[in-house]
Amino acid sequence: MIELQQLEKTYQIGSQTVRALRGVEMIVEAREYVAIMGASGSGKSTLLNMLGCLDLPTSGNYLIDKKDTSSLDDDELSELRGKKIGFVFQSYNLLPQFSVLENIKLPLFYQNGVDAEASHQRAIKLAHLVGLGERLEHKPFELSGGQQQRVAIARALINDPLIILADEPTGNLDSHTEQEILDLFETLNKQGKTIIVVTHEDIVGDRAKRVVTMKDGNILRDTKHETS
Amino acid sequence: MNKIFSILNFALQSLALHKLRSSLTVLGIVFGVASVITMLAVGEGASKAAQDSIRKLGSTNIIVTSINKQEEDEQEQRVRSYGVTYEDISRIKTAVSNYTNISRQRIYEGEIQYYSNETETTVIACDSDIFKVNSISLKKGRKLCDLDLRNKNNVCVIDGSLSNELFPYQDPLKQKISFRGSYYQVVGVTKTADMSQNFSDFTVYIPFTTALSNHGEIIFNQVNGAYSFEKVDAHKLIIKLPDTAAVYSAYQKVQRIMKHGHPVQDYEIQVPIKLLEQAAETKRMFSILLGSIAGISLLVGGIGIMNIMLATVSERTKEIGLRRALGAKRKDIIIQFISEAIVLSLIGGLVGVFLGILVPILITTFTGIETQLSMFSIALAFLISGLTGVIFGSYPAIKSASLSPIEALRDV
Repeated sequence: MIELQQLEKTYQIGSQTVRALRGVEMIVEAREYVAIMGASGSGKSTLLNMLGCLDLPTSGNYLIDKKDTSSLDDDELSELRGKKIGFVFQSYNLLPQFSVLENIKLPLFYQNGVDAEASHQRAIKLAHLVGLGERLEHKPFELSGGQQQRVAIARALINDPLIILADEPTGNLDSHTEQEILDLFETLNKQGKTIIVVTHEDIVGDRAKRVVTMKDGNILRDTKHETS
Repeated sequence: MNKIFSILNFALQSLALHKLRSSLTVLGIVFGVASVITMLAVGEGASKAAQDSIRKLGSTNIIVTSINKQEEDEQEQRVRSYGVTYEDISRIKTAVSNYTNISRQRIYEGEIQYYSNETETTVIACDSDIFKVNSISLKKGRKLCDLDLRNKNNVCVIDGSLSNELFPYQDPLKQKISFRGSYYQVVGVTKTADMSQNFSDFTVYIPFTTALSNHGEIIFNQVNGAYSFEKVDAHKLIIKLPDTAAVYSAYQKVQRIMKHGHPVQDYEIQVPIKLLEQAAETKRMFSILLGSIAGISLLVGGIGIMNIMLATVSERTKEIGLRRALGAKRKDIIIQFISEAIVLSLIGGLVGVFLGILVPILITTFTGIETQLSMFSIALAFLISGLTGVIFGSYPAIKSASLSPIEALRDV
């Protein structure tokens, strides 16, 4: 479903050239639950940005659903992000002026031909799914960190995306809440969602079905556990 | 439609997040719009007042006024002779044959009496046409007529305020008032004092011919103890023409005739229509001046909006990145920020229009200066405020959309 071919990314920082990704090759199939791990500077975040079409590779190809993303322009990339990818960030990134429900519905605003009533019902269903059915009208600052991250996950699900990309989703949470979030990811994966998590915490990696370890801009190890 | 509504809703919610900042930003626009409307209202009111008083003179009239140009030492003469003569008048009547009405005026200043009641007034000896050329209308009774002039009747028409002064509790009609030993029967009362008499308090109109036979050719005036003798055939000659086109050719003829008989220019020719044109020109200048002052304040308001939008954009870079990640295209981001700027400036515009309507009303109530609100200026100011939003919101919006999603997201 996702295929990376000889993906390279170099940054120019002053006179220095940084090779963040050095020809990464990877295939992720549907319904997989992948953790991308590695020390900071290993290139894992850069890889996630590539996967999320937030940044463009210097060379190599990135195929989603057998479609090459290098041929797409800015608008088409935006559309791709909106329809096929759901993001979960470390710092939740909720809009403070909006309620829980409005935050969940935010991605639909950028989609065409959305049925208002149906999407409203869907947002409510997702809020219940992540356990926030009773707090639809609350503003983000009235919620705990874990609850905010649940809102962000519901938001990532609203467009029924192919993949959920999570960047250190539990980095700001205590261990108890962390477990709850990881449980939620597991449930979603069981329901058929493809999930890719970037993390440096083993506890997160252990819950995934597949762990890809990065080092110096390339894949060091790629192991599948047959747990759970 | 739904989309527009939710864009506006989004904009309002974002602005509501920083209420104080948003309202301070809006102030510039509020004052800009209010000052545009107020200044145009004051300008319009002033010119309307000027035009009204010129119109009272009669826009199709030509007024020839006698002026005493003699030097101080010449005033030693017992009788001063100057101004419009009978000869001038008959020449003008012949040359300008297309006039509709014409009226001579001799003006006496003095006291009139009703029993023991004495009052300073201006007595105007005139032809019956004066009521037409000066558009004087009556409250009561009748005007002076040609028969009064032919028969030299001792009748008069008095103005409303004099009537109130002399006859507060009785019917003024048929009462007799005396002026310099002659009695005049009141036959009519005019509506309030008319503007062409320079707001002089009281006015009495008597037939021209009656005045000549009662008071003679030499006019004796005694005002505030000083007295003078004048030999003036007519202090004023007012010629009413059928339309404005006729005014110009008649004006040239009158000018030529008057120049011919008067080596010293002891007269003045007034043409209200020309004054009207000058007033229009003055008004135009005035409007440009006031308009540019108001325009500058709107510009300042607009820069305020741009300033705050730029600050907002850099503060909300992360939000922009997030929206881009969630599928927002560049144009969606531009639309979002421009709509916020427009909402800001339209709110400012709305409050400004409200103030702009209120302030001229207050000005009129407290200072008595006439103001004239026009729908045009309100619409213009509102439109400009909207445009200010678009223009000054564009740059920050475009700047915000030019960020790449990852750069924007990384911003802390």
